[in-house]
Amino acid sequence: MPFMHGSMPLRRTFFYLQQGKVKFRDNVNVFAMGFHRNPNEQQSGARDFVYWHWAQLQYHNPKVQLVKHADKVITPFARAYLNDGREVLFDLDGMRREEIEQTLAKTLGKTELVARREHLESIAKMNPADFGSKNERQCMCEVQGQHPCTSLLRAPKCMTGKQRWNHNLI
Amino acid sequence: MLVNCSRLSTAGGRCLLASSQMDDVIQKRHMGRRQPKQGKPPILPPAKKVLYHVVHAPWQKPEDVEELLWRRHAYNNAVISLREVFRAEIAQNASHGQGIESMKEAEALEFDELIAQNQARNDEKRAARAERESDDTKETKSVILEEIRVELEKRNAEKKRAEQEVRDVIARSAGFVNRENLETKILEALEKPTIYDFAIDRAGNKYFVPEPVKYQEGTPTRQKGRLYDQTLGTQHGTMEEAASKKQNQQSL
Repeated sequence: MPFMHGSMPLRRTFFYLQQGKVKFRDNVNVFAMGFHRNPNEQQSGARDFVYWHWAQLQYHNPKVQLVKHADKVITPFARAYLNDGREVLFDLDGMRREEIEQTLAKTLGKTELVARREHLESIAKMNPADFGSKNERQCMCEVQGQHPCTSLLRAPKCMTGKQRWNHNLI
Repeated sequence: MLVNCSRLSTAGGRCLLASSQMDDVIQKRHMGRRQPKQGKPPILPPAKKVLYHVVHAPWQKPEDVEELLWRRHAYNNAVISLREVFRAEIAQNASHGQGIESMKEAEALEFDELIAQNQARNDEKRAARAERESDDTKETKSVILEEIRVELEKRNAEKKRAEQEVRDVIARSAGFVNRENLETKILEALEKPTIYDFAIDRAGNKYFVPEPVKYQEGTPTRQKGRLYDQTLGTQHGTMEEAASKKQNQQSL
């Protein structure tokens, strides 16, 4: 299988997808990138970025529309369309792919402040009446005074659904 | 049932057995038409046995009552305190969300700052690129102009050469044959015949066999080719000999 040779399959591994550093803010609705398929030395950074980091972008930003413009203009560029109608243009001429990643992560990515705010919002959204893996308590049985889970302690027969007074009825 | 029975009548006694079993089931499960309840119909007054009959429940033991009351109190208090705990938890979570608006404003400012920085970087790069491109344009222009200059020089040289060639031709055309001097040229040609039927060696000596004559006398020989080639011999003529022969011809 030629598809399994070289660096091609490497960038599709789950581990590699998780390593992406660019996580866009909520402001970013659309992200477009112009690059060249046969670039010169100045333009090769954008092509490398698309080759190596596009899948990571897709993985980390499922709600952002990602657009590729191949061989459209001379200068490689990136353009982000924000939810308030603004556009942010990046000039990627002569930048290496690491520099491009760093620039995007710094300008459009989630900063320390955003991360803290989101953490606080998630805490504020928590309700003690909710149970589950994403909430504070996994199960009702963790509350004091409640009956333990029947997987841990068997419930009396009268409290189970199987119990019937009269087996002739129904 | 009747319909079923009539359908099953072909099967003989099995129909009867099936119908008796079904009736039993209906009575037990109270399906279909209900039978009236046993006892008094509700429209009649209460029976004498029931009327004025007060049931006196036996008193519980005082220690049991005390224990159950204590347990009820304990349970109610536990529920009340839990409710307080949850209320405090909700209030605390809400307090976490209090500064979020200000944080959002700070975030927007930070984002604007980042966008401005990016814009400045773009402008810088644009200026650098414009400068680089203007340099490239100048260089390309100079290269093209140099190419044009070389090409023009080449064409000029070619033109000069062609002009010189034409001039030479014009100069040579003084001795050309035309209608006016045709007679004189013919007479000149007859006076000075040019013969190319000769052999020549490496020194430039020409060997005419037979010797050319100005006017043909008698019958010319039928054999035109030479009997043997004198240039194949070892005794070749020298350069001096050829030069003297040429001088003699010119003097003649």
